[in-house]
Amino acid sequence: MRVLVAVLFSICCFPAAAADEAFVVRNAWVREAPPGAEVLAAYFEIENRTPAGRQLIAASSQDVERIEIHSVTLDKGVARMTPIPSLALPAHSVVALKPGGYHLMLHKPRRVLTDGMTVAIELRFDSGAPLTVQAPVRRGHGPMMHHP
Amino acid sequence: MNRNLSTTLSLIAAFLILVALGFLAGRVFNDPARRTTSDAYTRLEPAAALPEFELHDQSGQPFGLKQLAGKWSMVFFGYTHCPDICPTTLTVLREVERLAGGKAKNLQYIFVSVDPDRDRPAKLKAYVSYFHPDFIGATGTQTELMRLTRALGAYYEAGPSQNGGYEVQHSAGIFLIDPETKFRALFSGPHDAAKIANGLKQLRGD
Repeated sequence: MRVLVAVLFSICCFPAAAADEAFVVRNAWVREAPPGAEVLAAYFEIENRTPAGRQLIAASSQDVERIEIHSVTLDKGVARMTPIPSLALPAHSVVALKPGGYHLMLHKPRRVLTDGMTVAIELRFDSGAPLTVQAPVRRGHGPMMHHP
Repeated sequence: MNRNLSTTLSLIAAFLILVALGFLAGRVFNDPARRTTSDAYTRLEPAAALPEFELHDQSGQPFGLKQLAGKWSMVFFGYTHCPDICPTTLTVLREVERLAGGKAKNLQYIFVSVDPDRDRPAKLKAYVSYFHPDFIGATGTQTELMRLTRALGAYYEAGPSQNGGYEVQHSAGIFLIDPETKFRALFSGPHDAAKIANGLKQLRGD
């Protein structure tokens, strides 16, 4: 019973993370979308632990047809969403993909993605091995079950 | 009196005068009756009348000035193929609705889609009701949309087609329209539910 509680606790309360030698990804989540939505957004923080600047160049998932990296800028009150070919990850730094800013745009889900499910997203970089992130689908505010 | 002392005294006097003027200016500009900007919203003085416009809502029913009259309306422009800004803002508005007293009868929330080609009534309905059963979705022809956006100073523009889809840039603000169907205030963002709810309270005179 205690093991079960511990396991449940770690699943719901620890941020979804992934790591290899070069990168650590934290607080990954996919925003649950309204029924029939053809697009969803995924967010996370990614730390580049290497002494060299790197690039996130692509992402994919079995659960959606394709993924684009997007930037959002606010220019005189107008939100502009643009797909970008790559996202720069400076050396020894953390880049945050979060609401209102950079995000992964997930196109055409192949199954309905609802709160509680997990989406495996493969991140590919300019060099080195890809990294798979397990991103929980969350309704509303954010990766943790609290109000900011 | 030697020169240095008199210079110093002059400077001190000038400084004190400036402080006094600053204090008075603060009193004038912080007077609530004149204040037009809080950190959450900009209030229009005077409120701006809106022209007639003909959109339709998520049930295909007409949506225009008649549906705005008698209520405070929080209006946000977006489109359902927007995965980030639009759901984020509608989530904030859901929280505002909760904070602003739940079932306040004369307060409504309207999502105006600037992508009428893809956002047909059924799609709009599924989209807005996901955030709150009482949220209203509206859209219409480009001509009618522009009647409204121009009056509010809102902007939108569809981008080029890529991979069979397209983005639509759009104003990210939340526009408050009063029961006389006048544009009263703009919440520019970044959108914080508590700040917006407080701002609404002030603007409605709750």
